[in-house]
Amino acid sequence: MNKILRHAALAVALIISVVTGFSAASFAALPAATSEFYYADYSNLLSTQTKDFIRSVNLKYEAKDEAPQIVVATVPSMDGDDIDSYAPKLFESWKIGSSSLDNGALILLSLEERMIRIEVGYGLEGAITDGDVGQILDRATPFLSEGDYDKGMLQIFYDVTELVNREYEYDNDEIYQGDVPMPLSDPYASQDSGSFLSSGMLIFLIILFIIGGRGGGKKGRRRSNPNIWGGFGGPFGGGGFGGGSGGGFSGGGGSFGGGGSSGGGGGSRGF
Amino acid sequence: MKKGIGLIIALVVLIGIIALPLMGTYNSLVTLSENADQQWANVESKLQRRYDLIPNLVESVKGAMAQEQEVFGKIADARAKMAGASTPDEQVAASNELEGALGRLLVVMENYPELKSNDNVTRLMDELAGTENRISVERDRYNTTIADYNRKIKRFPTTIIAGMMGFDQRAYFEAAPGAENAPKVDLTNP
Repeated sequence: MNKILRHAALAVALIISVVTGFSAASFAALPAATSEFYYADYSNLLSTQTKDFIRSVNLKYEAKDEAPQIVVATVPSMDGDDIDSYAPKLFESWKIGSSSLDNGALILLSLEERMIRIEVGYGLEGAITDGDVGQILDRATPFLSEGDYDKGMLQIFYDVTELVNREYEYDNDEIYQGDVPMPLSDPYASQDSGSFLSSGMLIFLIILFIIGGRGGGKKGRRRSNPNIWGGFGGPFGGGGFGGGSGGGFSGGGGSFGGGGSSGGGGGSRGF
Repeated sequence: MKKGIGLIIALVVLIGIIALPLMGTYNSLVTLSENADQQWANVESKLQRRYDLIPNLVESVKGAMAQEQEVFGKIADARAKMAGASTPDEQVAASNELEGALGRLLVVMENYPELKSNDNVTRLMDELAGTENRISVERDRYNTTIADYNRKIKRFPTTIIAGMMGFDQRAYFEAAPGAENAPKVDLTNP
C-alpha cells in the first residue's frame, strides 16, 4: 500500500516537473530590472559617478523622439547559462528600447563566467553592427581583465551611445552633459567613420584626397585618418533583416522598458 | 405554422451552439499557425544573412588559407544546397550542413594566427558569430511557436477539429547533431 502511494507521488512529481519544466527552463531566475532601469549593478562593480552618467544620458534620450534605451547590467553569475542566450532573454524580459523602433541595447557583464556581451535590439542592428560590437569590446576588455570594471563598462557605454548619437544625429555635447571623462582618449565612433560613408561622401573624399595629394605641403590641414580606408569591412548585413518581428514580443509589463525586442544581435567576449 | 418557426429558431440556436466554439477553435488554430509561419520567416531571414555573409568571409581568408581547399569546397557545396532548398525540411538539413562546414573552417583557422589579427577578418568573424547567434535565438523562438501549435492540435477536443480542417503537426527546427559542442568563434586576444 505504502509502496503504491510512493509510486503515485513519484509519478505526480514527475508529471509536474515535466509540465512546468518546459516553461521554467526559459525563465530560469532572470534578475528583475531595477527601479532605476538604466543600470542594474547586481555585482556592485560600477561607481556612483558612472551610474549617474548612465542615467543622465538615458534621461536625455527619453526626451528625444526616438527614445533609445541603453541599459548597463552586471550580474554575479548566469547559473550555467551561456551569455549569448542569456542576454537576449534578459533583453526580452526587460523590454529594452521602444516597441515601435526596437532601439535598445543591453551591455551585460557576468562576473563568474568572466563574459561581457552587448545585446543589440533589432532597430539598432544597422547602427551598431556585430563588427562594431567586436571592436568596442576589444577596446574595453583590457580594463576588464585588469579588474577595472568601472572604466571598462564606462568606455563601452560611451562607445555604444556614440554610435546611437550618430545614427539619430544627436549632438554628443548635449547628450554627454556632466563631467565624466572617457577612459580612452580616442572615441570609437569617429575613428570608425569609414564604414558609414555613403558613396557620395566617398567620391567627395577621394577628390579631396587627390587634391590634397597634389597640394603636397598642406597635409597638416587635413587630418586624414588611415582607418577611413581600412574600415570598409564593416557594414555587411548590418541590420537589413530583422525588424519584422518586433511587435510580437512586446507588451506592457509595467517596467520602464519601452517594449523593445532583440534577436541575438551583437557580440560577446571573454575577459 | 407557429410550431415551424419554433423549430427553425431551435435549429438556429443549436447550430450556433455548435458552430461558435468551432469557429473560435478554428481561428485560434489559424493564429497559432500564422505565428509559426511568421517566426519561420524570421529564421529564414537569418539563414539568408548567413548565406550572404559567407562569400565575404571566404574571400577574405582564402588567400592565406590556400591549402585548405577541402574546407572551402564543403562550404560551397553546402551553400549551393541551401540555395536549392525549397521546403523547410530541406532548408534545415542544408543549414545544418553549412553550420558543420563553417565550424570546420573555424577550427582550421586556428592554425592561422595572422588571420585573427587582421581587422577585416575579425569584423567578418564577429558578423558571422552574431549571425549564428541570431539563428539560434530565432530558431528557439520558432520551436516555441511550434510547441504551442502542436500542443493545441493534440489536445481534445481541438484535435477533432484540427483533424477535420487539415491542421497537421509541424516539425521542429532541430539543431545539427553535435551542434551543442560546435566550435565557438573565439576572438579573445592571446
